[in-house]
Amino acid sequence: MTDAPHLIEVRNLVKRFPIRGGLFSRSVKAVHAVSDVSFHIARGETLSLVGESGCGKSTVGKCLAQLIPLTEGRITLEGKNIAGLGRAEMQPVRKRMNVVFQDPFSSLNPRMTVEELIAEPLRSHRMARTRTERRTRVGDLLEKVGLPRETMVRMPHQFSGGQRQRICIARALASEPDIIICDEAVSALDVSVQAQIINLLMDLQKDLGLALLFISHDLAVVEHMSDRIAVMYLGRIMEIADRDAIFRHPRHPYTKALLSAVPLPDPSAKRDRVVLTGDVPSPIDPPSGCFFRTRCPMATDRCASDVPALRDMGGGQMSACHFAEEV
Amino acid sequence: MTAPINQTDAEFAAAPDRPQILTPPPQRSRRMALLIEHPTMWIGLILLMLVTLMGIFAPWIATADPSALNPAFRVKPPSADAWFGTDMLGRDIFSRTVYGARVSLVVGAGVAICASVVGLAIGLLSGFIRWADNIVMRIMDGLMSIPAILLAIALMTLMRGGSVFNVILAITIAEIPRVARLTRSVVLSVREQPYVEAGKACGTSTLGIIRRHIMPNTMAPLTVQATYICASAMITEAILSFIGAGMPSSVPSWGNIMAEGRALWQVKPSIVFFPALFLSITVLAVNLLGDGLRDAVDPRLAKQV
Repeated sequence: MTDAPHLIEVRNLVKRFPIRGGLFSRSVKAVHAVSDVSFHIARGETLSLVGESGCGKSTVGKCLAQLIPLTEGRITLEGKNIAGLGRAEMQPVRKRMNVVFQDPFSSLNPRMTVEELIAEPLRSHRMARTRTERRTRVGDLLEKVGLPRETMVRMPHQFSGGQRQRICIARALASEPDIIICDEAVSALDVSVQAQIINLLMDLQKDLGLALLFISHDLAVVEHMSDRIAVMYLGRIMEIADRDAIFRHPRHPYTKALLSAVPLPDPSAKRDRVVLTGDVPSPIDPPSGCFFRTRCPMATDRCASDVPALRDMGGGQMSACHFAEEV
Repeated sequence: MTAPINQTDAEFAAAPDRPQILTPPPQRSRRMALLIEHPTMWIGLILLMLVTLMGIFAPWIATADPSALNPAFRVKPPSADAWFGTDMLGRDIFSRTVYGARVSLVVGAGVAICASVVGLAIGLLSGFIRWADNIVMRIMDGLMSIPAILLAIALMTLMRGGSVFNVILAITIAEIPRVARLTRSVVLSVREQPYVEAGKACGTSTLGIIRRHIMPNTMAPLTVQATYICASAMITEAILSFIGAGMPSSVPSWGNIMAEGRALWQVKPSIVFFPALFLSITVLAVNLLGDGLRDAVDPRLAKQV
């Protein structure tokens, strides 16, 4: 590892949502949405966060963008802490980081024109002061995402889902950010449109040197896009490694099970399926030791007592399993 | 395709205007279409405009000074001289009714505007600031638990003396909770919308979020609510004046004209009948307008009257 700070570095991120109840709304319990998550993203790199529904991947994204406050941990942008900053101090950070949300239908205000929507970050970061200046920028951004300039006068309901997601991307690009958090940005789209949006994102990334935090549950998309992949389960990172390492030689039983659940295009192909039994435990009352042990085919007594730390398996591949060598 | 992000000044100067093609269908024409589709709104609007014109041009329409006494010509039935007859002091009821429109309209409009503005502010505050919400809404609940008319009477008594301003203030206080609740409910539903979160991620300040994302969504229901408040304020004003808690009898208002005819209504119903008719028509007009507006802004609720 080099000494220069990474673009984004997350250290021991914890997010608990208190459950209030009883007299005077005391917090009686808490949902452990994210526990002890650490990762970093380099400039121009795509890190994907994968995992099943409810594993806390979107919560990580929201904590990163400071849309919800984190409970514990540190997030640094080029070495400077950004966790828990006040509104005014957060403003320059917001300029360098923006979010594309899952649902392009509800993440654009239906009462605003495309021009107003894309100009919103320009306004709030005081980037283009006059109306003509803003209009030129909005037009450029629209062209950048493959929409005609003229569409800026329209309303969001006049666009299809894919076009709306392009508008969302143009909006996220408006403040010239260094990193864009794509929170399931293509999950709500048709497969053919997904491909277009993904290619658009990859082109933009190449042109602008953007870093992407790509949150998804679609392994095919993730394999296509990512430089590195972090696999999450119940709020913890199980394994984090380069894309090829994850797909060729996973070092965690959960990663293995996930990969074996990807449908193959060839119906006659045979393979060893790792079929998990049982349900994901409740994040209100997670299991002791390794969170995955209740469903892990390799679990032993040790897994119930010791929390496995992320260990380097060589080549930057980190796995949080006591028996990573045997996987 | 990939235009440079940093534009030169020359390029800014040459910024194109909005292209003329593909302009969105203007909102106003859509509203005009809705107006045509909702005849009740038309009727309400026309009636209301007639009453408003009557109020504005009262000095020219009235056939006599509304407060001129004529003891020799008391309690007369409608005739060519006094179209609606005269009251116990010989004052011309037609002229008094025409002037009475002023009080009703000013009170109706004044209460609708004041209650909307204050209620909107309170609703936004309690919808956005968690700790204020409980306190403010409990106060609103307290106000709402007192019938509006009783509250208005009590406030008028406190303020000692009827004037248009005092009447507007008293009725406004009684009407604010309804607006505040409505606004709060809109704020609570809109603030959870993903586009609000997206706005936050774009660096928009809380005030900007309220102004650009939340306020526009409250406008449609608030306009409709304002028309209903206007109608109910007119009735409340008439009740206040009728029982003597509202406008002094030197200022003609439909409520106090009726009050003066109360003792004689079985023998001389015309004194009560005409102001009551005008009050009913005006309130009906405002309500028709409100119904039409409601259908126009939320077609799901549309019911043909």
